[in-house]
Amino acid sequence: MRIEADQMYGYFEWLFLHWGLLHGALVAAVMAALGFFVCYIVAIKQHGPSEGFFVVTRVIYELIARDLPNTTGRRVYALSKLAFQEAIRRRVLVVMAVFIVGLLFGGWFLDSSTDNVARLYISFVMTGTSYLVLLLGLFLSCFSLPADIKSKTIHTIATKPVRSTEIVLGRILGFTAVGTMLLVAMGILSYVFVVRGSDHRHEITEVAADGTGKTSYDARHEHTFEMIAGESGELSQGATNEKKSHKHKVVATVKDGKTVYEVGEPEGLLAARIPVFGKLRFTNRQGEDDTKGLNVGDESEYVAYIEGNSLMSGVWSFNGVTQSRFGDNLPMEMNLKAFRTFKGDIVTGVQGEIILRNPNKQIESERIPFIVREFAIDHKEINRKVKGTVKGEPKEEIDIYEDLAPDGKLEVVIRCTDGGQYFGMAQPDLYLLAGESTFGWNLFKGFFGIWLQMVLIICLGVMFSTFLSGPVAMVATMTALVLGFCGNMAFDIANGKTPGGGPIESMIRMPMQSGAMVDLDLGNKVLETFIKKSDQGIMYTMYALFNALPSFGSFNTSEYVAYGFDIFGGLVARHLTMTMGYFVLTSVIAYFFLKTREMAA
Amino acid sequence: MNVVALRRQLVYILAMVTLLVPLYMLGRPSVRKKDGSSIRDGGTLAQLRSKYDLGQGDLGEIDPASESMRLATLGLRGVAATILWQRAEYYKKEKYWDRLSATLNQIAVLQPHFVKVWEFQSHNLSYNISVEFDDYRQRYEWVKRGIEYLVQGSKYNKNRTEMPYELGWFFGNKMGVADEKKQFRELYRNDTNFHAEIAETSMDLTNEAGLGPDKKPDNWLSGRLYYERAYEMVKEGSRPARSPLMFYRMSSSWLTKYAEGLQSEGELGDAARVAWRRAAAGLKIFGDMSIQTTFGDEITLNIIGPANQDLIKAENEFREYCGVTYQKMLDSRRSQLTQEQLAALDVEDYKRNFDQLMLAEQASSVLNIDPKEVVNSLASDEKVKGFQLAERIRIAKEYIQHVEVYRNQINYGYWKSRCDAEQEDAAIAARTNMYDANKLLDKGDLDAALVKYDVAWKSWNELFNKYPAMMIDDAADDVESAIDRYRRLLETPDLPKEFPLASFLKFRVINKDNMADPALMSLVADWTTRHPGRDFLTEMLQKSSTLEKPYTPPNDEPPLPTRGQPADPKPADPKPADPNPAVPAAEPAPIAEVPAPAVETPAAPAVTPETPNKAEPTIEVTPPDDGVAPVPTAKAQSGEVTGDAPATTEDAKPVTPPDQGTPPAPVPK
Repeated sequence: MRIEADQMYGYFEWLFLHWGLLHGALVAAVMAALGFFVCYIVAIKQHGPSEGFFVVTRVIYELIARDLPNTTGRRVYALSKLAFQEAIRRRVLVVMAVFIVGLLFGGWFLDSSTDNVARLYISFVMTGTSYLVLLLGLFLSCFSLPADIKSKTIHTIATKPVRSTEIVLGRILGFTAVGTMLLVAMGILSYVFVVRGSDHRHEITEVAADGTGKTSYDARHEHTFEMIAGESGELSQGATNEKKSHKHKVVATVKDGKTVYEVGEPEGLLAARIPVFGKLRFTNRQGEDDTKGLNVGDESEYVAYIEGNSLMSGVWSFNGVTQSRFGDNLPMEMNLKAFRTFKGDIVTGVQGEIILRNPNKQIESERIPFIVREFAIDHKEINRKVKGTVKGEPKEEIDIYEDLAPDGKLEVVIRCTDGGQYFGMAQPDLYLLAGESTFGWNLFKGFFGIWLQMVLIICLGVMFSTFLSGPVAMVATMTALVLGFCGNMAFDIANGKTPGGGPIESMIRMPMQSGAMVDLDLGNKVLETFIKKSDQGIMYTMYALFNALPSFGSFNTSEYVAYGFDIFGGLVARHLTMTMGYFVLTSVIAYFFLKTREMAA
Repeated sequence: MNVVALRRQLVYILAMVTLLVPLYMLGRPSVRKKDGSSIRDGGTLAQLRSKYDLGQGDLGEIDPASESMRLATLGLRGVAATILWQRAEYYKKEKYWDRLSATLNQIAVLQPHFVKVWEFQSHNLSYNISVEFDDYRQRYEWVKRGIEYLVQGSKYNKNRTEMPYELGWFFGNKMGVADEKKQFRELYRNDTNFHAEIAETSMDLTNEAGLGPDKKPDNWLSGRLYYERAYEMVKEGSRPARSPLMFYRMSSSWLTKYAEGLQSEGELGDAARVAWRRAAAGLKIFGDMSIQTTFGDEITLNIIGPANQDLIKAENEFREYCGVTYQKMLDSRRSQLTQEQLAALDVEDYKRNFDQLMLAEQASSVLNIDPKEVVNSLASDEKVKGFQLAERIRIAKEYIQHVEVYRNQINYGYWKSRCDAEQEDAAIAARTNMYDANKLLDKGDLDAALVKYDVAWKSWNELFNKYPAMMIDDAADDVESAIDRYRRLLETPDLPKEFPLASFLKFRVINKDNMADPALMSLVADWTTRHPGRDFLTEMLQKSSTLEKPYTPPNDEPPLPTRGQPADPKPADPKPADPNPAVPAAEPAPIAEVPAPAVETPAAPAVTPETPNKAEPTIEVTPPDDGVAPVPTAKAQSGEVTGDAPATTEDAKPVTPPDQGTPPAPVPK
């Protein structure tokens, strides 16, 4: 799973240290200024420059002095209820039917032989839910107000008297309530689908005298298992090996004089690990600090590599390493990659070592050997007491919390010991495990992310629908949605990272059948330069819009749930803050446009 | 009630009901089983669809998921497939294997009858993605994924031979040639769950023909089962997935690979012998198969012997017919040669140095008269028949050339020789002893290792002399490595003087850059059939040692005669065994006229042992090579062959030289 660096920031870290607050304030200020300017231009056309200025400032005054303070919850509730009933009348429950049909026939399209069935099922249900709910929010929000305006029923409401703020808030909250109702139902069904789909059992087919054996072949896999002697000396409990990202507990009981083995439910498929990520840096072949590792030829540069049998290493720096947080032993999980320059011993696997040390490098643990496990989570429980060295002098016992990390700071060094082989790593590929949350709660947080996306879409839809017709509002909202998901692509095109040019250049290349990697050649340098600059302008404008609009892609936390990582509270808080910010912004803009239309009427 | 209106309505209803009948006859759907076979034929349209394979069900199974997904794309199936392909490439780049796997399934569901999709993506899974994993067990799982993907595809494309062809390749090549072949083969052998899954949907891998000596499925034999299925499909009307040569060679090729695989795992005794016998039988079946060539004729790979006989017969008839005219032309040509060239022709071929070989080649090409030239010189009433005879020669030579081209493409001669060689007791003894010696050396039992090595060298020497083809084999590399270990074991820089494989080592050194030379491979491959009883190594090394130094006449030899004068008689030299005595002097050697294979003469002059030394050049007449293995020993014939045609040697024809000249004398060693 890819976790970008910015996703690992804490809430306040993001808010203050990484310009979250500043960015939000900037967007609000720019949108406010832009909105004021646009409204002023429109007002000038209708009323002239001075009257137009008066009109615009009067709207601002009325918002602050009258409408906002006098907005009542009772009217907002009433309008919400109206919007809710309207949505139900529009048969939005069909969406639920579509979802249920999708769940029922999903098995036809899902590959049950995949390595991690739960991951596939979770991705499926969350992606399906996301598409359905976002489309629902889009259609509901874009067509409601324009339909009222067109049919003049808006006047019935406006003359009640109902304030514009209440109309806007009522619509948003009403549609949100509909979407929430559906989302809750979808969430429950998704939970059941995933839990039932990933559940399976095995029977024991072989047991040897030493307590090892094999299970039956079910769900396209089988396990071997090993029983462990309990306190009484009997082989009463055991566990299977890990296959397809899970294992089972095995319990032996004696019934009617015969030992009966029972295989438990799968463990590890529906997890919610709470990782504590560190900061990764590298050392080069001379052992000096380096900013990045090696590239072994992969197209993607997400993973960097260190060379084996050298001083190259990956060093993770952790804070807050305390016993209260991690328990007596230090649980650590890794997901490293291996790259071989020659085959070597393919049976054993590429070997490496872990070293724990204090950041002052005076105290470090012994080398803890391991064999890399690719594309799987390698869990290590490092004993609190380890052998090591203090200022170069060997010591029989070092305490991780008291000696290595007395101030909570700890470094974990990874080296590859096989010459000619390499380890690949990215920052999130090694973390300390601070416990586990429950899958249900994690799934809820994942669906909460979808809910936030839905609220954003509804806000945008309502906002656009206050000054655009229904279909146009839908297109505008959809554009915002697409930009929100693909805005980075616009940036890559603008700065030349993606070959082929922007829209104008592409339209020229297509009839010319000119490949993207070939320079544009029209025989006229001036024309070519003009085209490129125009495209850059368009792309940068798109990118600026992307920065102003909510980044829908970042709200999608389904990967966390699918890969078994707990969605950080900080991340949820960040998304909630962003949603609230856009809610306020879009509500204000919607109010302005509605008010302007009201006054014009 | 309006009677007219009522009557009209009744007429309409009657017409509609009447029209339903032909509509039903035309459009009634056929009812099929899951495998696509028909239970009820259906109406005319359904029958036509079935007859011309136009219906969805005629291509293979119909998958409801596929149909519903295609409908759901609302005509944008191509767009959806393109997007999915892009996503698949993205997931592959970013190493999201699960999502990649899921996306490939979706692509397959959208395009079930596009065979290239199945081929491409299954190859992607088994070859590209499997190697991304470090653990060989995980690699094996992904190799299986690719195979399962292909098995799934074959259900939807039951008439396409590409699917079983690729399956045969994956089972054999991926599991049997990869660096992890030892581990893959072991895992596959014991993967009963996989065998059961494949048996349910595709092929019974526990079929007797697919089992190894341990009675467990062998990957090579499993692959061969799929190739046999592909051949059955062709018999039923499907098109071969490749050209006929490449398509039909796979079954026998996988048998030889199976035998090699057993040997590499230490199965060196009767199990290996049986496997090689089976391979020889399979190769013979393939060799007897009629293959349509791109030249337009039909050949069989085993026909080289009768084809040569036809050529000889045609040439003899031509010479008889042309008689004096031919002799006159030959004399005229001979008078154009220089003394040096004539002298070079006098030297026995294996004694010639490089310059003499070149001179002899030049002389042969001068003396090689195109039959058509001869015919043009004939009297006008003789010309018609002369042209016919000349044309027969031309056709025969072309035919032989075509056969040689096809044989050389797959190194048929070499594999035939190898299959025979590996069945010999000497081969078993050589391999077994060398293997045991290496193991003993690894364990540190040096004395026992020495004893085994000594036995092994003698056996290898016997084998190499009888089957020189083994000297350019991979086994020869292993022998060289073992000799290195043996040398280090002896703790001496040089090997003993009487080391049995000294000639072999010398041969390897001299020809180390020529091992892949088709001329050398062709020569060594067919040596035993062409030159029975002749010691290849001795002749080769003698020739090679003369080639190392340029020719300088000894001081006591008389000077070479000047042009036009006959050379002085030379003291008699011991002649090598000459199974190819020349025809009467009037006939020039045809070597230069056609490429070497046409007259079974190697192209490289340095490795041409068989042209005899004669004062006058001759038409090169080599013993006919009927392309059949020598008669195996009684012991080799006693083993079992399971599941295939038995090894037969009954139609092995003895190699008979032409009736001119004396039988060859044994070559002194």
